[in-house]
Amino acid sequence: MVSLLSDVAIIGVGWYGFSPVTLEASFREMAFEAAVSAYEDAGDLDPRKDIDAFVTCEEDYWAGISITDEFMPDQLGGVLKPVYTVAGDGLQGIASAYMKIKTGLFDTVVVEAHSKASDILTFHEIMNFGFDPLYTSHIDAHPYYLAGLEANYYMLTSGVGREHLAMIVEKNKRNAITNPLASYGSKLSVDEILEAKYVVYPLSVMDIAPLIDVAIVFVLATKDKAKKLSDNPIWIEGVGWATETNYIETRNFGEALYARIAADMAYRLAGIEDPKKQIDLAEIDDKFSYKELMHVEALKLSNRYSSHLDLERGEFNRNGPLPVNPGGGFIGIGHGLEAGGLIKLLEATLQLRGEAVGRQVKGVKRCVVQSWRDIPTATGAVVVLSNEEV
Amino acid sequence: MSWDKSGDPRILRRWFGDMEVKKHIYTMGIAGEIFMKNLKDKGVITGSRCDECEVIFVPPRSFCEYCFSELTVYEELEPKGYIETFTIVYEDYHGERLEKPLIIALIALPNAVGGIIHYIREVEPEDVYIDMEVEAVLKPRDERAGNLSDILYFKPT
Repeated sequence: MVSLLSDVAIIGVGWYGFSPVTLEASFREMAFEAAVSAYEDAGDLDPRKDIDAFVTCEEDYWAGISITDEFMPDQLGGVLKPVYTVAGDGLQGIASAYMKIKTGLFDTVVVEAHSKASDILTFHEIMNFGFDPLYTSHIDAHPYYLAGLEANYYMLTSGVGREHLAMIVEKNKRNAITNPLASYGSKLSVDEILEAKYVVYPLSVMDIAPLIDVAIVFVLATKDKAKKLSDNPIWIEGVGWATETNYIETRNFGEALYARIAADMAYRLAGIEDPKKQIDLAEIDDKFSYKELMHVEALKLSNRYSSHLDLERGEFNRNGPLPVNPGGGFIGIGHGLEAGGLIKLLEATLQLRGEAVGRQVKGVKRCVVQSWRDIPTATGAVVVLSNEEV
Repeated sequence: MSWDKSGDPRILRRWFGDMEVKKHIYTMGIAGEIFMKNLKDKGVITGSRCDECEVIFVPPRSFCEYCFSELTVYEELEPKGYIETFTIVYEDYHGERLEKPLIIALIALPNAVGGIIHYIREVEPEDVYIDMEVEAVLKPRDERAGNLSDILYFKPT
């Protein structure tokens, strides 16, 4: 596929939070702090003059208010400008901003997403609102039952054992220890991890990424703008996204099709034919431990049914041939709701800039970043990034 | 950072609110009504057939997710099948241990794509397995309301 117009670069990043609780600031103030940092990082931009459009990413039901998109312009400097909200993960917002720049109508576009998870007192009840009212409302249970159903099926059909899930947890929590942005780093043995009680069989509390509060802002720009404003632009080589059927009964629990289709699209745009060889580092959605293995296969970084064997060989370790979540993943950093994809994009951007303090991988030139929209969805997005100009 | 913040937890304030959820009517739709009526009156599971793709979907829908055809042919299926996958839920919504763990399964029906998500009972958690054959335990006919709670649970056959 041929790019019609300008290449798209990340020229600024900013964040606030990365903490289990943020009592000192409201979600608006958190986004403001992240925006101020991102505009400074992008070369001291004034959003009132220098930004053409804004995309925010949020699910209404986490916010305790409805029509949350209306609450977003002010703290980004976006009042009286084109602003809209993507009801989905931050990477879906990145894909939207990427397309905006590709139209030639916008030179600079901001993407924001945040989590104020510590404000949500009934997180799992609210999550149940996402299930089909006709065919699943008779089930009154913790919504992660859906993860339990999928994990059990995936593990049986692919030969993955509980010990492999524990190895993911061990790796990600260990990687998080040296990541200053991570809240849940810990040095645990596989045996200690396996001792945790089940929440939803076959998953224990260890297999489930804990929540954090965070706000993240990205500034995207055309090649011309990037050259003028930035010393270290990171290039978006490809984006992709896909959604499976809404009927959870007819989904394929053995494979993350949404991620595979999203990755195929992003790889096609990026001209990647052999992901295992051409990708140096992967930021993969690990809201549940087993999902990291499923997603690695969907992104063709492992062969089908063999991601757990690659894991056993240490291939995904920070010092391995293909580091996966070297900053700790959601299991080590924390799960930031719709900011999740932006957490992963931030990790990859810092790696490509050589600024990943405490978890820098040497010689990283190209990263793949992938996110999933959480229970009960089957929606995913993928972005391919490079620090080398095309 | 751009402004000063307090770090004193004694003066940081939040307020506790309720986000009201108003009552809502969920329209069943054409396929949904047929499914619920057949469950209530006949105690059967209904699927919708796509002749183009040669599949029967459970739950039924009025359009095919594969080829986008309109689906108008419905098939009545016995409320029994096998466990495609299952989980055991040990905690409530707030992380408290349940007194009795819940077994939840996706029950596949022979010759259909999809299935029914429901509770499995009359078996101990450690004895459940994928591919186990199960059948629905229904409420008596005069107590059925036309929803999936008309099936109390599935049990091993």
